[in-house]
Amino acid sequence: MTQQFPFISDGVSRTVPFGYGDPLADQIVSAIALGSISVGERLPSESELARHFGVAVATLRKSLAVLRANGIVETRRGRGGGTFIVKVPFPSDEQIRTYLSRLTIVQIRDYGDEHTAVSTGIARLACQRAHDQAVEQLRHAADRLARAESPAESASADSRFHLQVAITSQSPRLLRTEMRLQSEILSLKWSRAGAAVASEDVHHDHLTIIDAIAAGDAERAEQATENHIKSTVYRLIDVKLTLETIGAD
Amino acid sequence: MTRSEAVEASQVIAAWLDSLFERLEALGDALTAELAECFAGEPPYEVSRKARSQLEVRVGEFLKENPHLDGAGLIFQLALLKPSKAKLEWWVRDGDSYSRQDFILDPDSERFYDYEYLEWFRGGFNSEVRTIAGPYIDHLGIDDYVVTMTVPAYVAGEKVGVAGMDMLMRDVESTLLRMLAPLGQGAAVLSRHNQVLVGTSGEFSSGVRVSAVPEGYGRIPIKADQLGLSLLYRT
Repeated sequence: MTQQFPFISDGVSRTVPFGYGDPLADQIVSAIALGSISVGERLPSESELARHFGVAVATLRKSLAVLRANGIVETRRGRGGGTFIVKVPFPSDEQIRTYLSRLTIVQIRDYGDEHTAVSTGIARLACQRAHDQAVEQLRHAADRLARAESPAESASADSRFHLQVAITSQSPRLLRTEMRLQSEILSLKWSRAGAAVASEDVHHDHLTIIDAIAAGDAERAEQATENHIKSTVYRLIDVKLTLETIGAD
Repeated sequence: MTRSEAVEASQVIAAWLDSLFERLEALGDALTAELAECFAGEPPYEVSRKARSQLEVRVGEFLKENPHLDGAGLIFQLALLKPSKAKLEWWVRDGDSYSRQDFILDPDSERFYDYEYLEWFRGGFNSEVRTIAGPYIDHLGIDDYVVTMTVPAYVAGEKVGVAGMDMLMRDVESTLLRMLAPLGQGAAVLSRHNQVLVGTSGEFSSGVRVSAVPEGYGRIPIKADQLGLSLLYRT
């Protein structure tokens, strides 16, 4: 990842509405929101980043400080130390609308296709590999959502649940992929201006997935996972189309 | 493969594990002995800077003596620590040396390391037995695919947490493959959850669950104290 840091091009980042008043910080946040870098991943070194953006290291540090102050990144020392993405920024309703109106239906559908392929595969493996304690850990992760008090907290709890399913699958690679997919969808899924999913519905879906995993029923787990993703993606496309209609008036 | 060959391999594995746990218990005793002062009186407790530097020296020596281990230290029950000062006393191998590992212990953080629900903590602390957990992805912990071994840790008779050590799966694999080699293809070390730690065929690769002993295979316990491991072998 240090070789080809997948920051989205200027053309794309202009469509992404995160305003921290620092263009460079906004661009990095855009990359996180669009899943180019995921929560938990390490940013390249300061000198590499500065080179990538063609700015001085001092300028880059200022932008990183903005992100650190907003709780988006965190710097850790020790082995594997460095600057890490710690959360997906949660945008305002207006920002979500701007973003959605600029995404195409194909982009949204294609995201759903990838998420479905990956997450149903994870669900199948989890069914084969989960033991009692792993199922308990899934239930514990699902409980966090029941206690969440805001869309941002729900988004975080939701993501942790899906990552826990990936952990249950025993595949570090699938976990990384799921992290990227979660980073990409969370704010769109939970924002009132996005798919605006209801916490109770999502919690119910999580419990269905857990029951299927506990029963080792791969077909049911895959079906529940697919339906869960489908409902978010369909809602997003609906909202996007509504925005189009308003825009056309 | 004859049963006696499998028994022999299981004894080699059990002896290796017993020796690892003996070393871990000795480390735990040495570490907790440094904490008598910090853990005097009523909780919440805080590990002083002085005690921490003593722990670091001990763990550093331990990692040096045990080159196949990735990390080691003490993990406390979170409620015993001052919330603002809570830390795990954990060091990891870092090149030729070692470094302290930070974990996020604020329950409100998105990246809270919720370790009290993990098997290694529940076994070592709640059940107070030698525990081997994994293979598992230690997400938000050391973020690697590992096996963790723990034993209960006591300070002046009071249970405070666990002493633990991590072995990366690549090291578990190379060590156990050597021990399984005499059994040829189709042998596997299974956890108490029937999950493969290491096996000598694609069918029994690490992390896979073997819900029932397949036709043509036998299974015997690996007699290492309460770990619940077993050995699957081709008959």
